[in-house]
Amino acid sequence: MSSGKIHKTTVRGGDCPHVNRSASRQVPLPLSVLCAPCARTGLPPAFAEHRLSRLTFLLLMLGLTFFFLPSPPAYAWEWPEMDFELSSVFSYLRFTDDYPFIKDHLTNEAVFEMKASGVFPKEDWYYALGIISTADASTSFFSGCAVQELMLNTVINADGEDYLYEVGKEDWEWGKSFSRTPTYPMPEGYFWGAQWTKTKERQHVIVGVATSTDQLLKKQAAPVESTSEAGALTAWLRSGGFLTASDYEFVFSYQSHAQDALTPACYNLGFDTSRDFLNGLAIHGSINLSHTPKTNEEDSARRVDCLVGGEYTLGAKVIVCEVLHQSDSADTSLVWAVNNYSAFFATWQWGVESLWNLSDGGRYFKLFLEYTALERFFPSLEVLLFTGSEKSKISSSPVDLLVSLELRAVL
Amino acid sequence: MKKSAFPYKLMAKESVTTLGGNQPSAKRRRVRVYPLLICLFLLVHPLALRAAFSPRTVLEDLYHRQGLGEGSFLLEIEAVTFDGTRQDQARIKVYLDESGSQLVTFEEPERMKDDCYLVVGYNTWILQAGMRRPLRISAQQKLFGQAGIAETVGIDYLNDYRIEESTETETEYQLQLVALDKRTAYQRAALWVGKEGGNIQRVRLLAINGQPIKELIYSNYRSINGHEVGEITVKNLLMEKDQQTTLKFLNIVEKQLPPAAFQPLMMNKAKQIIGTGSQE
Repeated sequence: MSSGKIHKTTVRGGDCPHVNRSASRQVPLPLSVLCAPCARTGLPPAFAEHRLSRLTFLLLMLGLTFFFLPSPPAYAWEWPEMDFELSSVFSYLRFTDDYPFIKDHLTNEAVFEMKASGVFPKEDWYYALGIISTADASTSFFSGCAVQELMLNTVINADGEDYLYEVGKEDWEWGKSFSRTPTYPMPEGYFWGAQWTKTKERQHVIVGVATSTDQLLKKQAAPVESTSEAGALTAWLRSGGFLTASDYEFVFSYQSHAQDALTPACYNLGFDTSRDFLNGLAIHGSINLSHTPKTNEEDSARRVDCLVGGEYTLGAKVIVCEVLHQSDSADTSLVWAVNNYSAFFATWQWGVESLWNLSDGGRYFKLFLEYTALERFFPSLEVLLFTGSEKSKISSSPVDLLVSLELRAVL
Repeated sequence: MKKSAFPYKLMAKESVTTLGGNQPSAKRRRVRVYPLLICLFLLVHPLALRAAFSPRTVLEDLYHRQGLGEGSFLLEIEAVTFDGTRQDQARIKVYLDESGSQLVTFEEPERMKDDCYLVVGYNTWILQAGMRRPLRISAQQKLFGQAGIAETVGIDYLNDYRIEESTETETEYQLQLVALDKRTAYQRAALWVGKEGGNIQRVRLLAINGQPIKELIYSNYRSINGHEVGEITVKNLLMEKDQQTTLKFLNIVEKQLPPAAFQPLMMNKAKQIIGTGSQE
């Protein structure tokens, strides 16, 4: 199975969102990605790119040195495991009639990803470092660089209980659904944080905290001279377990800024569950109650988000159907998908998915096709079509058709 | 005189006491004994025949010779899939916990090294490269060509099935099994066990209505560190295409495995947990 990594395609012109294809191809594009300017990848300001370009180059050289060096010195740590991926992405963007001044065009972007992982010599702490660097073929060598992942973790067993300690920058997402889980409070992406997990037999307790130092939050805080700290702090407490053919989890979370620096804190209480009927059919559900306390400016508010879905396995194919309801935007969305991502020996990995916003009629369709027969080279094609009612949020995207051809090499 | 269940002892006592005694009397006593012996022979012989073929014993013998029932083990398996025109190969490691949980990781091909799946009871999760969270998958899902999860990690015919019918031929035993739990992946199974060697030759997996689903052909039996295993060729009987998957055991070692490795929340840390917490 080829690995899916985050790739960023910049849609140029106007108020253009970044189309962020999730690391897991099984997660469809959420509506928020299509509607809002996206800075959640944490790319640095332009003035720092030059320095980061040098840093990236040095890290690449260091990584390649470790990779090709025949044997480590006796005093060195255990040799890290290195993974490199180089992709060239050709994207064709077709703009809607609302943007007549922007011509349909083709972009080409190179993405280089390096991941190093290993163990420290003492205390059995493991580390993982992931760096992603992009280059626009038409402009400069490097157009962006980011530390995608920097993780330290260790597992301790004591008296029949297992404890997992994690700290660093990671994607903390949880859930059992194909699309976004309502109980997960943060947006997509990697965030700095820490998490403690305790498992015993079939039960678990998880406590975590993360901070989203979103550039967007800082920009919005400045004009009104808000005294609140820029950056959202999210904390969560999860407790659950799994039974014979089902599982459940209660989630309590706190968000200091739910949407932006001006949004007051809110508390969430949620529940996730899934069940396998052992005949090919499995169902899952999730509900989240959000409460925003009363402030000087606004009254308290409550919100309910829920998701119900199911999947049916037919040989190597999986058919998924979900309904997601978000009370704050009064959106009810229907998501369906068919794919063969779990078929390890399939020559072609393919997937078709669609999201239909039942509230405003907006739709998008996605076709994904990847050739996996070669050992280290994986060409793939992705087609995204945004359609539906003109007043829909999906239709507010300046792009109505996006075709991407990716040539990915694993080094 | 105290009666003995063993007629030979009775005869011996009689011969001692009647030594030099009345010959005609002794002859009559021997004649009375012969019918008794014949009756005993007729009684014991069928019992002896039944003891020679006990279907339960056959399954127990298979179970113990495979030797994976108690303790925790690491199995290295090579899976080769052939779909009539193309062949694919993968090398996997199956970690068997003494509670019956199974963790399967990939060694080859390179693109699958970050993938794994976990089976705990009737729960199955998969974690693929790039995924942060494991996803629940169906136990019916085909993972290696025609081989699904159940065939890969092993079907426990002794403890998960009851014997409905058994027959014996000159060369083999035929057992018809029915699953004890309706949640078992394959509700019915038919086994052919060879008399010579006492190993499974063929298994046909069926649905509850008796429809054949898959056929497993066993061959090339050998002993690996005291565990008697054979190559398993899995054929899908529902499809007309010439598709089959062969599972070959490369190595079996006893290995202590930390319980954390069989937690779905720890799946993305499974390799590091096994690497630090296990002992060979």
